[in-house]
Amino acid sequence: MSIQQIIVNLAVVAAAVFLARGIYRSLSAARRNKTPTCAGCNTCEAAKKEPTPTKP
Amino acid sequence: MATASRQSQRASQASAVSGSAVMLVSNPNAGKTTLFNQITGLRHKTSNYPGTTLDLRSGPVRIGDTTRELYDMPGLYTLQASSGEERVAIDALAGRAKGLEAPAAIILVLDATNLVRNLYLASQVLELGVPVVVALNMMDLAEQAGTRIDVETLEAHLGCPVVPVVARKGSGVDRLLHVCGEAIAKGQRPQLPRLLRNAQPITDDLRYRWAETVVASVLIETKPARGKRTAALDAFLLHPVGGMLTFFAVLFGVFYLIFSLASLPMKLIDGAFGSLSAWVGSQLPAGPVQSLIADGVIPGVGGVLVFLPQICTLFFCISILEDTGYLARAACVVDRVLRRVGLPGKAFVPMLSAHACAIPAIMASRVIEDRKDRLITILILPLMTCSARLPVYAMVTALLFPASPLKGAALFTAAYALGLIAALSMAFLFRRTLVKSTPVPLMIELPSYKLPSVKTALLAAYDRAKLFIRKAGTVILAISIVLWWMMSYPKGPTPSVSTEFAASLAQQGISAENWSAQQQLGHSFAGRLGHTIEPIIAPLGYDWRIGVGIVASFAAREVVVSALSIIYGVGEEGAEGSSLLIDRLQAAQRADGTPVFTFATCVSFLVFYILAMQCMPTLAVTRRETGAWKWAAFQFAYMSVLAYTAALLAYQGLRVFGIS
Ligand SMILES: Nc1nc2c(ncn2[C@@H]2O[C@H](COP(=O)(O)OP(=O)(O)O)[C@@H](O)[C@H]2O)c(=O)[nH]1
Ligand SMILES: [Mg+2]
Repeated sequence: MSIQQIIVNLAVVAAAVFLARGIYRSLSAARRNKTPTCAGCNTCEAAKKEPTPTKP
Repeated sequence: MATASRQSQRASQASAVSGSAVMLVSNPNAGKTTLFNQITGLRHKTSNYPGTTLDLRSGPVRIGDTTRELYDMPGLYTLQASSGEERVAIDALAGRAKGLEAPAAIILVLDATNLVRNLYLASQVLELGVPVVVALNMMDLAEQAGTRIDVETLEAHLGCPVVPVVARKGSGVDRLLHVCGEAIAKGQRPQLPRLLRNAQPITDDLRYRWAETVVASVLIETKPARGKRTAALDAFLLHPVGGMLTFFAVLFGVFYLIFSLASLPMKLIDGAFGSLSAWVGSQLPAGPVQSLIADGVIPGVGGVLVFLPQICTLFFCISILEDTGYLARAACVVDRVLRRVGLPGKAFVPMLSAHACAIPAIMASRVIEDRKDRLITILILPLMTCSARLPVYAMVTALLFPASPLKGAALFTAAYALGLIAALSMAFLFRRTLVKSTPVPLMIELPSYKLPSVKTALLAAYDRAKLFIRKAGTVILAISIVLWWMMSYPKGPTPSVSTEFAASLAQQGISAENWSAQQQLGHSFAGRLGHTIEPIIAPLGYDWRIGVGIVASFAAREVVVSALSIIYGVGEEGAEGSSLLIDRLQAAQRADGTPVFTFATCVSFLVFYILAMQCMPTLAVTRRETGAWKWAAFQFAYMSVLAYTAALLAYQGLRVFGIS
């Protein structure tokens, strides 16, 4: 195998492991009732804000 | 309730609360969290309240000579609440929540611009028999609105100290803590207001009457109410028909702006990545590494980053609309429709935030108390257009209407509308089949109109940009590498092209290298996969390469753009290809030499991506929030079927009308 081929194989394996880890994490987080790793934005905090109903 | 039992209950509560904590209580959005952050600074921690999904934030605060724990409670409208987070908060206030200290004092935050409703809760908090200090918040806004509040009279009415504060600026906070310390030291329990003290039982109506009397005597208008213009605007913007039309007109305007503003930077980015790819091709020795970078990484990551300008512009515009107070009006108009189809009124907040991302939206649907209402909302939320769909919409728009922002905006508006209509129809359907019950209505409070802050909008755009780039640099990069590998391996035997064959190819306008590259692609893992699923997707007007893109994007939808950018780049003549995405796709041909991306195929493709469930993290959140994989699986299944059927109808329908 040429050096180029080795570099490419390493990159592909690293990428695949990275993706598998991401998938595993979000699935297992769901099972353990933790917040799954989402895009990582902070909109959740903002979204938790409830609407304010007016007096009935 | 009899007087005796009420009093004994009060006495027992009073004796129960010999605790040491200080708790912040208020209606939602009165400024508890802002005040909490001001007081605790960065020292707070977030913990999960045992046995619930409730996040409880607490931090140490120095009051008098003692360091006490300050808690930021979830917002409450009433202490009679039935379920969930609210119940936990109420128990905590009464010192009955296990694992939590009882309060030594309660800091009741009142929104000075919204006193009547806030006082309703106050009337109940005062009954707890715990020392209460009122933080009268949003004094800056009250002043702007032209009102002054007579603090001393308010103190007299409430029977407890009142300290005006501006939580956002931190003014009044030191005094608040000082007064709080005194109240704890003296064990100062509030004097129950007279109107309430003598009444048995205390009805809701009475509480409101009391609140209104108090407000009438403490609120001093310093400026004439400037309600006239607001009322006129509202009459128009909240009109069932006019409001809806305005809403779509505004959407259309925003999209028009996006296309006219973003098209130039988009071309620049596309060109830059194209040149980068060519440069890498010329600098690196030919071989797998060069191919990985020039044919995999750069087109994959660049193909998505091209849409950065659109995303920034969109979030800039949304922030501006929100700030002016228009978005709340739009929500109000949509809310009427929501209730018609059987969605709870409270669903509009999650539905709004689903336009950024379905994940926080699904979590936000926790504000819906009723389990069935919540389930329906969660199921339909991923149909709203999230920001991951934007690159796909923008790609199709660029393919169909490269030179017309007007038509582009119309297509975008239609895409948003289709997502919304699909969501509403499915809610309607689910309400009649899966979960039969009547939804709980909601009244929305309308903020006043004001000039938007450009700085806030710029920050919103910047935040989105950061996220988008981070995703491109991680998930999309990784998927691009894997995809490139799947398209490049295994290597087939190099096909030998005879001179006659090359000549016949040339007659069809195909170069020999291009032909062998296509042969190799067909031989690869991705190629085999694509050809396997081709029969399923051919009726939608897709060739096998689009099929590979669809499969690749099942975990995250925007990946399809990268995938197409990579897969249609194979065998393309490098020199002229200074564009990575749009030109490539426009030039793409089927085996018979006709273009791949015809009008009908583009429309069908767009419809598929509007409706399909292609986001793994969302499924995981659905599982978590519904407590069962069953619902996540159902969500995936119904959306996939819906997407396939609608795309099929769109494609075949257009063909029936002679549009291909
Ligand atoms: N103008 C003004 N805005 C405030 C003040 N306090 C809070 N806010 C804003 O009111 C909104 C709701 O505040 P937040 O602390 O999240 O309320 P919570 O729901 O009670 O925790 C936020 O946008 C704050 O920035 C204040 O004193 N003045
Ligand atoms: Mg809060």
